Amino acid sequence: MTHDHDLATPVLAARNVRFSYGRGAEVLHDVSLALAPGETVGLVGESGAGKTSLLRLLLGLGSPTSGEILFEGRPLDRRDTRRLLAYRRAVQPVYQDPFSSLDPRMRVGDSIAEPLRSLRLPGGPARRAARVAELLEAVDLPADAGERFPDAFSGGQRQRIAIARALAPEPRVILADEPVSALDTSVRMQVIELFQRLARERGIGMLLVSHDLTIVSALCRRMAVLEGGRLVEEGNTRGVLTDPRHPYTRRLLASVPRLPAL
Amino acid sequence: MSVTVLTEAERNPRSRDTRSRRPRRRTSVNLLVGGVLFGIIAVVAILSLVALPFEPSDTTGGRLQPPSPEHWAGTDRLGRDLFTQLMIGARLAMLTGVGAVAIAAVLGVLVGLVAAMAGRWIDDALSSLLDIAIAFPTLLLAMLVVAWRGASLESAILAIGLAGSAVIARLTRVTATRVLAQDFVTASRTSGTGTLRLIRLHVLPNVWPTLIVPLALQFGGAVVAEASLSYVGLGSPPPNASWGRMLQEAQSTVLVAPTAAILPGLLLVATIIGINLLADGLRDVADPTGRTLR
Repeated sequence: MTHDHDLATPVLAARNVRFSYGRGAEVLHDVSLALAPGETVGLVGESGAGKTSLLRLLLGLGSPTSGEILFEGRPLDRRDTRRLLAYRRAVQPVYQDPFSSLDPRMRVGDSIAEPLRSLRLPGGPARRAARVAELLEAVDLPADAGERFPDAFSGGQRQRIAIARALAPEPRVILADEPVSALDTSVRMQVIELFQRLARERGIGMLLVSHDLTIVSALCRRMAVLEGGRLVEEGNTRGVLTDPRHPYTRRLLASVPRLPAL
Repeated sequence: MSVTVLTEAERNPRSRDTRSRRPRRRTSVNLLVGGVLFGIIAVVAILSLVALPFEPSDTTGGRLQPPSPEHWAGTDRLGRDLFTQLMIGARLAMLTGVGAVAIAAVLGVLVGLVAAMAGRWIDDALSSLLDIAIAFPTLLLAMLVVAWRGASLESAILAIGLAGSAVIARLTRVTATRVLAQDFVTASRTSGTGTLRLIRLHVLPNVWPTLIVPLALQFGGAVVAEASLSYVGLGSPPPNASWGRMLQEAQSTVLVAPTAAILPGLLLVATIIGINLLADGLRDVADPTGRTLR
């Protein structure tokens, strides 16, 4: 089949990536991870395991010390501006802290429209405004939300706004760094459901960084476990959770808080 | 023994209410009083460009006359109309303030942004330079500039602006560094926004509110500095009547004609109080809902 190749080519991949900050100790040791189109992958590990560092590299915010970041099967070349633009459109981030991820002095609508302008997507102001309204609706926010400033919104609403901004260029992959850990438990579920819906309805792939196995199991079909900068386990989420191979994964599983049996 | 700790609300049930109401009230009073004081001086300065009661060099008024219907503020020892000189003084004061603040803002923001965004070497070098510049007394710097360029209003403005820019640069650097560390900046970068656009869209709007008050205060400082320079003869040369030089000239005749010394002094004080109150009010207008990054 001719389509097989396209489906098999990961949208985004890290190949034998090593990374260290400046001359500091290496924080990623030979990590390889691929994200197939539409695939949802959870990246778990404790603080300092290198999750965020890996995410930054995948977002193109740094270059690996050795190894490569592949976009649609080919290494990224920063000088190739055309391809860089395609990559930026295809790969969008959602951050942990919804209070830091929106400019407090920019109207929400302008924040959402910023990628549309910066990524040179076609359309004038009218078309952008329509798109902003559409995006706000997609994340269950009223259309007039775009006129207001971020301080008019709660943490959960802000995270929806940030998700709307990430959706603006119609990305193929969303890289989310602990997207719900700063939210209240009740709001958390709503945002997780939003992510689920986006993955299901729009076929957007997701790499979800978290130390919360509950969220990963709710959202991700596949999961990878990072410990001390090494990928120690990778596989089907259910498989990993029911039959963890690596001692570290077992420890992580054992540390999941449970409600006391009633 | 049990200790009962009363919260502020319990001790004074209405305190929360007054606290939430008072800042707004004070703001409007500050803005109003500051605006009126500063506005009057500004209007007088502008009027001086259009019309003056007497020619600045007109010495026909008689020497050291007290205030009269003809000469509202009296005359100086050369027989020139003091009100005319005060108006010209207002113009020079405004010019000094605007010029010095403009230099401080443009240069300070530029240097501050470069320090915040460039690599560590440049940042370190600029920061050390700024520390030296800030430690250097304004008046001494002004004397150097005057020695280099000669005594003139432009020299004074340049010197005062340069001195102020160091403070603004350091403030910009600190605030910009904090803004640049925010996720919305990273988000902006990952959506392909270029550096200049990033500065215009996200950095400047978030740095600006923290600069308004210091810049307004520098305006007051600049007016005083120019008066000081003129007082010691390093400001704009005669016949330009700066308030500082009027004070200096009136010094020897203060017992005979006190108005000549009191009025420039009063105007100086009014200008500075006005701009300070205005600065206070402006801050709350610029940041009505606490949108500033903390």
